[in-house]
Amino acid sequence: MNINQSFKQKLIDIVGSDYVIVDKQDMIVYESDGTHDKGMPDYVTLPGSVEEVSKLVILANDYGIPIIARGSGTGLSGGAVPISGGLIISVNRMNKILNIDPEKATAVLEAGVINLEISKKASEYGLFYAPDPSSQQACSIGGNVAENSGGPHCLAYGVTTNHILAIEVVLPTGEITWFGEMNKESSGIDFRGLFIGSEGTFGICTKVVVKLLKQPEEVQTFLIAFNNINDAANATTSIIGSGIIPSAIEMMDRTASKAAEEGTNAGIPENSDTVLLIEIEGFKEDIKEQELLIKDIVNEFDPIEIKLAANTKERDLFWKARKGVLGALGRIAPNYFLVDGTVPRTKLSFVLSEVNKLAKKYGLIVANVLHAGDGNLHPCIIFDQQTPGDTQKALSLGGDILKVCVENGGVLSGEHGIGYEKKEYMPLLFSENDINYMKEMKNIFDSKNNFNPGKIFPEMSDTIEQPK
Amino acid sequence: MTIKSYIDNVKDEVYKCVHCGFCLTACPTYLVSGQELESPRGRITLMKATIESEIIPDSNTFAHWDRCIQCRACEPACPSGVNYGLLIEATKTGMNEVRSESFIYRYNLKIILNLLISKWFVNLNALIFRIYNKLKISQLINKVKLNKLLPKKINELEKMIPIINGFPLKSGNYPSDTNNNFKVMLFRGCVMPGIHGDNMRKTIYLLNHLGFDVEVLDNEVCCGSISSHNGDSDMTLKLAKTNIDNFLQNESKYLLISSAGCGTRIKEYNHLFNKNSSYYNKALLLKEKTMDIYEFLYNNLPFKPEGNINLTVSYQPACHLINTQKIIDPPVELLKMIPGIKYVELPSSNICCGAGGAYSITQPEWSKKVLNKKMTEFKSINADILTVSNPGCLIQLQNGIQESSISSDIMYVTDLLYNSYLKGEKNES
Ligand SMILES: Cc1cc2nc3c(=O)[nH]c(=O)nc-3n(C[C@H](O)[C@H](O)[C@H](O)COP(=O)(O)OP(=O)(O)OC[C@H]3O[C@@H](n4cnc5c(N)ncnc54)[C@H](O)[C@@H]3O)c2cc1C
Ligand code: SF4
Ligand code: SF4
Repeated sequence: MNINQSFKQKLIDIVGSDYVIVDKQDMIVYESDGTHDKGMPDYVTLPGSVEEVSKLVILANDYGIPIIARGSGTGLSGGAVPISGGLIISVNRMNKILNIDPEKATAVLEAGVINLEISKKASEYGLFYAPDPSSQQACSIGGNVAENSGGPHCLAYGVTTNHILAIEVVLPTGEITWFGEMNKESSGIDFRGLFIGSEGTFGICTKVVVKLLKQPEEVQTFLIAFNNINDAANATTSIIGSGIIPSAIEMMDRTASKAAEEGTNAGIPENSDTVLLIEIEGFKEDIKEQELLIKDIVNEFDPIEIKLAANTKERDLFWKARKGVLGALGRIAPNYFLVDGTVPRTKLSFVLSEVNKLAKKYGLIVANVLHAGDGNLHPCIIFDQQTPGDTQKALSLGGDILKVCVENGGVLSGEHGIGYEKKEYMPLLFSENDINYMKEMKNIFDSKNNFNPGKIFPEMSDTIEQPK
Repeated sequence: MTIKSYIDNVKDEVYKCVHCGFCLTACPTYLVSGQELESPRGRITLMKATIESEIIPDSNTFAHWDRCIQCRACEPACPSGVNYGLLIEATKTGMNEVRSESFIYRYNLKIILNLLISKWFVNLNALIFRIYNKLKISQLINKVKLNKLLPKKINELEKMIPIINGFPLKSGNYPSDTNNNFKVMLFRGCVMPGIHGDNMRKTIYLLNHLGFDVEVLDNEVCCGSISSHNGDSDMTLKLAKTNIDNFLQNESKYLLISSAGCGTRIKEYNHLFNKNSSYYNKALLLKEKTMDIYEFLYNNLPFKPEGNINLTVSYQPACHLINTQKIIDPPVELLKMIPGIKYVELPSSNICCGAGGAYSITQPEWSKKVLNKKMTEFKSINADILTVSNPGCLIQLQNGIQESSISSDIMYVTDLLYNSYLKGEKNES
C-alpha cells in the first residue's frame, strides 16, 4: 500500500467511507469557497464528532498533511481554499443545536450550525442571536468564529466576538480543549478572544457557546431612496451625529440596488440612485419618537422616497434585497472581487468618490454595498473570469481601492478576514515587525504550520506594491 | 452529441452562479448529508467543470445529478436568479443521451417511462393495488412474518404500494346545478385519477358546489414531467404538443390542475420550444389559461366554507407549487377559512418530503433520508391532520406516517374543504 492508500484507509476507519471523498472529479466542488480562488484538496472528510476531528488531526500530523477547516464555504477571502492541497475537515455534519438556556440566554451549538437557525430556534423563547452576516442563511457558526464575522446589525450589537462565551477547539496537536467560560466573561488571558478571527490557522472549533439577546419590543425599518451617494452618506453621518444609534444602517449604490431590486421586487424606486436601509428597535414609545426624528433628518437631504416596512413580511423583503445583493451581482457578470475595507465614517463620501474614479480608470464596474453605519465598505468589482486579463485587472483595482482606504485611516478587512485573497495587501497596513509578532503567535498554536498554511501572512515580508 | 454539448447549451445560465452558497440550506439532499456534492452549488460546479473540460462526467458525477430531487427549492433561495430547472433538465437530457448508448438502459427506460404514463397501465395497477388493499395483503405479510423472508428491496417496494382511494376518475362533463355557465377543465394527469379517484371527485364536487361546470378531457395526455425529469426530450415534446393543441381547442376559460408537478410542467411548456416556433406562442397562451386549483379557488371563492372542523391541521406544500409557481399563501389561507380549525405551521415546510415524481422509486435510499427528517419535524407539532396539495406528497407522506406509527391523518387541502362545505350544507338543510 502506498502512503495515499494507507492514509485514505485510516480516514475511512475514523469517519466511515460515506464521509471520505478522494475522487478528483468529485473534489472539484471543494476547490473554492464564496470567492473565485481555487485549490484542489487531496482528501475531504466530514467527521461527525469532536473525537473524530481530533483523530483526524492526529492522523494528518503523523503523515505531515496540512489541514483546512471548512464550514459552509461562503467565505469571501479564500480562507477555506486548500491552495496547496491537504485534508479538508468539513464540519457541516456537526450541526446540532445542543441546548438553549432561556434563563441564562445562552445556546450551546455544534460548529456546523447555520447562523440563521440559531435565531429561528431561539425565537421560541423570545430571544435571538445578534450577529447576522448577510450570508446568515448559509454560513456556519464555526466559520463566523473563525472570521469574527459581522453583519448589518453589528452596528448596535458588535461583531461575533462580543457574543461568544466559550468555544471548544481541537488544537493542532489533536488535543480537545475549551477556551472561555460558560456563564460569564473570561478572566485571565483571553484565549477565546485570540482564537476568534484566527481564520482556521490556530485549530478547529467544534462547539460554540453564544449569548442570546431578548427580542426588541418594536422594530421599524426604513428604505430610503436618494438622488446621489453623497446625500445618502451625509444623511448617515447626521443620523448618527444626532445621537440615535440605529441597529443597522446599510447602503447600496445604483448598480447594487438595481441588481437587488431585480431579484426581489422590494420596491426600490426606478429613479433612485443610492438606497439606505435603516432599522431602529427598542420600546414602542421610543421608536415612534426616533422614527419622526430620522424622517426630519433624512428630509434635509432631498430623498426621492421614504418607505417604512408595513409589516414583518415587507421588512423581510427589504432585508432579502440587502442580504442577497452580492449574489444578485451574478445578474451582471459571473465573478466579483469584494474589497472589504473600513474607513472612518466621516471619510465615506470622499473614499467612495475615489473608488468610482479608480473604477473608471480601470474600465470596470464597481457596485458599492456598505455597512454605512460603521464605515465598512464593500466595493464589489464585477468581472468575468472568462475574459482574458479581467481577473488581473480586478485584483489590481482591488489593491488600489485598499490603498485609498488605508491612506484615509482605514483597515484592510471589516469582517471577511485576510485569508488567501488579501494576504499580499497586509504590508499596506502592517509593518514587518507587526507581521512577525502575528507569526510568533501562530507559532505558539501551530508550530508545524500545518493548519491552513498559506493564509493571512504574505509570501514575502517586504512591501508589495501590486497584488499578484 | 456529448453531455458537454448539452450543458454548453445552458452555459449563460450556469455562469449566473456566483458560488455564494445561499442555496445550500434550501436543498433537501444537502440538509440530510452535509455534502457539498449533494447541493445545488455542488451540482452546478460539476456542470461548470464539465463546460470547462476540467472533468469528464462519469458514473460518480451522474450519481450526484441523479440524487437531485428537482424540487427546485434552490431557485427562490438564489439571489442571482439562477434557473436551476433549466440546468438540471439540460444535464439530464445529456445523461440520457450517454446512457442510451447502452441498449439495455435505453429500452428499459423507454418501456418503463411509456408504461408509467399510459392510462391503461395506471388503471390496471390501480386495480391490482385496490385488490391488494382490500384483501389487506400487507397486514397478512406482516402477520405470517413473510416480511422477514422477502428480500429487502421487495419489502421496501411493498411498503410503497399506495392506498387506493376509490375507482379511477372518468373523463366527461360534470355540470353544476347553477346556470352560471362558467366552465373549467380539470387536468387528470397520470397518477391521481387512478389512485386518488375519490379525492378528484371531491374536488369536482367542490367546484360544482361553488357554481363551476367541470370538464375532464378524454384526449389529454401525460403532462411530460416524468419524461423530462428523466431526460427523454423527444417524448416530452410529443406529449406537450398534444396537450397544447387539445387544451387550446377547448372553449373553457381555465385549465385547472390539482397536481403541482403537472402544473409546473404545463406552465413551462414554452421552455421546450424555440422562440420562433409557433408552439412557443401557443405554449404561452396555454400558460395564461392554466391555474393551480388552489390559486383558482382562492381567487374565485363565491362563499366561504361553514362546516365546523375542530382539529389541529398542518400543511406540507408541494415544492412545485411554492418554488416554481410561487403559490404560497392560497392553500393556507383556504385552510384558515374553515371554522374551528387550529392551524399549526410545519417547521421547514418549504423543504421537500422526498417524493419528487419518480424519485422515491429511482432513489429509494435518499428519498427515505429526506422523508425521515420530515417525519421528525411533523411529529414535533402533534397535528391531527397533515394536508398536502399534490398526489406525490400524499403517497410519500402517507408512507412516512404509517412507517412511524403516528395516528395523524393525511389528506388534500381540497378534501378538508370538501368536508367543511358538505357539513355546512347539511347544517343548512
Ligand atoms: C453573499 C455573501 C455575503 C456575506 N456577507 C457577510 C457579512 O455581512 N458579514 C460577514 O462578516 N461575512 C459575510 N460573508 C462572508 C462569510 O459568509 C463569513 O465569513 C462566514 O463567517 C463564513 O462562514 P462559513 O461557514 O461559510 O466558513 P468557510 O467559508 O467554510 O470558512 C471560512 C474560514 O473559516 C475557517 N473555518 C471554517 N469553519 C471552521 C471551524 N469550525 N473551525 C476553525 N476554522 C474554521 C476556514 O478554514 C476558513 O478560513 C458573506 C459571504 C457571502 C458569500
Ligand atoms: S432541485 Fe432540490 S434537490 Fe435539486 S439541487 Fe435544487 S434544492 Fe437540491
Ligand atoms: S444561490 Fe445561486 S448564485 Fe449562489 S451558489 Fe446557489 S445557485 Fe449559485
